[in-house]
Amino acid sequence: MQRRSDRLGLLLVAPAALVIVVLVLAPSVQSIIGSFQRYSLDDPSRAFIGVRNYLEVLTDTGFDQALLNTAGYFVVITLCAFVFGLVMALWLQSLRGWARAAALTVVILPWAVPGTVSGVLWSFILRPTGAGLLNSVLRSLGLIDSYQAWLNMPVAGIVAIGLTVAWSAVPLGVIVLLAGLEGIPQDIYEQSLVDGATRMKQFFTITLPLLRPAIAIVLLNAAVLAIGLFDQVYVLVGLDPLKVTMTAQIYLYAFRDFGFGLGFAASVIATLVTAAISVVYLRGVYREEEY
Amino acid sequence: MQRRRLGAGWRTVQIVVGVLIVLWSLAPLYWGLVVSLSTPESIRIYPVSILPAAISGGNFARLLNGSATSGAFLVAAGNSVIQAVGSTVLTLLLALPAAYAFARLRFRFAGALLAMITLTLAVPIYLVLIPLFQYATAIGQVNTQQAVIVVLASASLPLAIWILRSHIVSLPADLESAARVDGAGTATVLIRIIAPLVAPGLVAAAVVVFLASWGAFLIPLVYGGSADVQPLTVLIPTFASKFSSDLGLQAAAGLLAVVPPVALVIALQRHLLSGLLKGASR
Amino acid sequence: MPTTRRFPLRLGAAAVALSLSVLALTGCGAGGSSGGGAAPAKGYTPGSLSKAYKGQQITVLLPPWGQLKPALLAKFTAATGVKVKMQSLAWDSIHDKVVTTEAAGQAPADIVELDWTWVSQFGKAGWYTDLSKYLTKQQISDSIGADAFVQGGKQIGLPYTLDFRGSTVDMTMLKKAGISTPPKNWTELVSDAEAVKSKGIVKYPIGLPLAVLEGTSTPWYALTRASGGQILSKTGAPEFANGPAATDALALIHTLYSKQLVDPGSIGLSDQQVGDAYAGGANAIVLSTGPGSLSQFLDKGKSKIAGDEIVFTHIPGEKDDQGPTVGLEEALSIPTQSAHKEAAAMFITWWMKTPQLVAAYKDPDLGSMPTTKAGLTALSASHDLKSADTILPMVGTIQAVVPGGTPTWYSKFSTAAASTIQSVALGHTTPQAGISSLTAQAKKIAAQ
Repeated sequence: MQRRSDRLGLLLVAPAALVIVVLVLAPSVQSIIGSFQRYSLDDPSRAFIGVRNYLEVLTDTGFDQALLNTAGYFVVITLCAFVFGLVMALWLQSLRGWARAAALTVVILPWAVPGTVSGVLWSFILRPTGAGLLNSVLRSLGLIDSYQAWLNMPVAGIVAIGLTVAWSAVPLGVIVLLAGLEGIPQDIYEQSLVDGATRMKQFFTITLPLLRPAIAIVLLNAAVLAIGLFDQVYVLVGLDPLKVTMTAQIYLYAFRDFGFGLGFAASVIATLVTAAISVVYLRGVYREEEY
Repeated sequence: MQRRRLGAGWRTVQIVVGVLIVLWSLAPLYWGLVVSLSTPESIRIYPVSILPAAISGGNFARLLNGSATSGAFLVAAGNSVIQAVGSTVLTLLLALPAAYAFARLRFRFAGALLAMITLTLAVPIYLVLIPLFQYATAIGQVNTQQAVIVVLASASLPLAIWILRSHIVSLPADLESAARVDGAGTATVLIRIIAPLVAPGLVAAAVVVFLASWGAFLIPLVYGGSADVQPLTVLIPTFASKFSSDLGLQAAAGLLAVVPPVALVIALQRHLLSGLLKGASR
Repeated sequence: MPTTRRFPLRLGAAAVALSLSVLALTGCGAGGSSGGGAAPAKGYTPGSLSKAYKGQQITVLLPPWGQLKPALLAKFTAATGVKVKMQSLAWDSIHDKVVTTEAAGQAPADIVELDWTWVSQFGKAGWYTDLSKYLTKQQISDSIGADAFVQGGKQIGLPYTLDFRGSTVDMTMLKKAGISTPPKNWTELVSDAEAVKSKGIVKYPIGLPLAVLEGTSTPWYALTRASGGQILSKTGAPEFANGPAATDALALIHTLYSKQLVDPGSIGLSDQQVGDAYAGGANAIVLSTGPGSLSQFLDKGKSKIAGDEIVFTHIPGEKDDQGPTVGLEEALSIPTQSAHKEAAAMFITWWMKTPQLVAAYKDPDLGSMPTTKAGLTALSASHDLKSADTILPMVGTIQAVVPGGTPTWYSKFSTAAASTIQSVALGHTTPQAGISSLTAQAKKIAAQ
């Protein structure tokens, strides 16, 4: 139920809108303008050069590698957030009473850990020497015969870093998916039971389709995380060209090479990619099912 | 919730999956605790032992009595609290009226404004970092708590508006109408009726903003990097010295930095979940 | 859902209107550094300490290893009446902080860390004051390694910690393997390491980081320079492609790795982690590290090898005769936007006096080697300088990695070099192919 009231509405929204305009939109616009300028410390002229920054970014092998790496993180984080999130949500739903409350607390704990701290904690597990838990455990079990520096391997590194990011990202997904599961009316299951459906069949014909909106949110969150990924990569492997993300590449352009124009152009590209993925997910996956 | 009883097979799956989930969620925290309690030599032995070899609270003591960082740790912890609480309060103060308007009122530009606010979720921080810094210096507000608080709030605002809006949409409108018939103004309606009713939503939004602000790194680094303003997330990476990184101290500092958000999540778990679940389900 | 159908048009219009007004307010393209006074104020005498700037407060932004203790700072305040506020940030974070604040036309602090790798980028941008106007000629010529901080004819930094590359050798371990002197050339290095390995003293005798990080490039620079080679010319051309030294150094790294004289896990290790492993007794030799690491290795609380006989010496060259030692120094600099340049310069003058340099070395949290002959002499006279016999002769041979100052594109080059080194170590690329690909990359990076 909505009342019509222009003045009141604008008045209530104004403070929040003002903050967004001044602190996010205006600087963004300024940077977007900068992305069309020769904007670096070597050349203070700030001459407009059209789309040349964009062309240079897109043809830069460093950026292409970063794009490829980001795609890798995207796949790993999306898979983990979706599969782990769904398994955890189903597990939580199968528990009752205090067990469920306790399990929920455990599952959402990683969410409370700041990104830089989770990078430090995972580095303790993944280090090849000194305190490297995983290497020690696998070696004691005889599964590996020398210490492995997974983080620095081309593919294993992406997977390992993706896992550490997923660790903090999964809890939010679990909450969203659990909410979705709880929202599915019980009688649909009962009806299908009468029709002789198995648990497996129920899962694919009822649970998954009805979870679509929740799944869309989880996928979207994973995509935003993968594209914005920076802190954890930086803490774990520094600026290894085979690991850097699109966001890290933005950082390299602007802060290491002082090519602010290139950095802004790369940020705009990253924003557009994020927006495109969001549209695909919201159009393709986020669909309320009738039941 | 009434469901079929689980058969023995499913029961086993439930337990095995449960063990894996608990391991996955807690192993990094557990191992951080072991490292923080170990002496520097004991964690250099290969392979390391899964249980702490010799328990020593030395790293925690060095942080809390200030000897490791000449007091910087405690100052930074205080800054983390000021910035996280400050930005949470500011965000909610801005978000609640806006969320109410978007949920309940029809007004010109409503759609455009909501879209604009939502769109900013996709803006990477690097796009705004430098111009925003120019604004901050133009008004002489760099290296201040308030600069960090305001920028953090601007980053969390869109999400907070979304969470609160979905809660308000789900409230029955009758209560409000009744209050309005009694002559209550919008401010009264917001404070007396809406705020208490969306308490779970407020808690959920508050926790989400608090966690994001507590964990922020780049924003406090750039807008408040000096010693008296820097929070824990900026201080902790400095514990790596040039030729060695003091793992025990890093672990201890990391774990102490995790205590407030974890305590908050545990204490507010019930409200938090009901709040987020409602927000997520629509 | 409220109606959002018409939003794109309206949003666009609103955004344009708003941005125009904001741009008008802030002035698009503002923020260039106009530069404060390039010369000191009247009444300031270079190299002097006085109470002329009493009551001022200066901020000093340095990494943890530059944090002087309050008790020491109190002496400066007593002498000049200037208060000092020390600010500590991680080394990387200082770089980011400097770029953001300077890009916005502000001073990050009155005195700021200046790493040798930042000299050219930051110097060309005109962010730092020419210290030769604020200090005496004598002060600058006394400073060991000050030449690495000259950019465009300006002295933009003065080193506060003497850092250069040498090898740390655990003679206790080598003696167990029947070796009585540190290796002087690569043949000895390999044979000594093999002896230590075959006796089972340690599994991996040599510590060498091989992750794609700056700490992986510097050992290669040092090995090349120690064998008479060069990395980049004064004009930034890939000098390493001329002559065999750089190629041979890559081949040596591959040999050490393939014979498992270096831990295979090293491809994931930073120089810090190699230092940690060494302090844990994992290796006999750290091929390339700084003299400051000695205080860590000899600290009983932190090191398992504190009781061993540890020597810091020249990095072995391909042949016996030693080339130059590579200096990797960090300096104090004064941003042009600083409002307290004179007081800041006094602080530098004060720090470079022997008592302060000695105190900074003796502080176990800093362990900074003095950057003047007088400071080093005082330390060795009081027998406080660790491994003094080998360190003092090395000091005379320190040279900058790139003689004409680091080029602006240095960090890209360094990453490319580290990645080449890793790939040669693993045997994915031959040393020759590695050099030619790095040469091509260096030319391309420099051309951009």
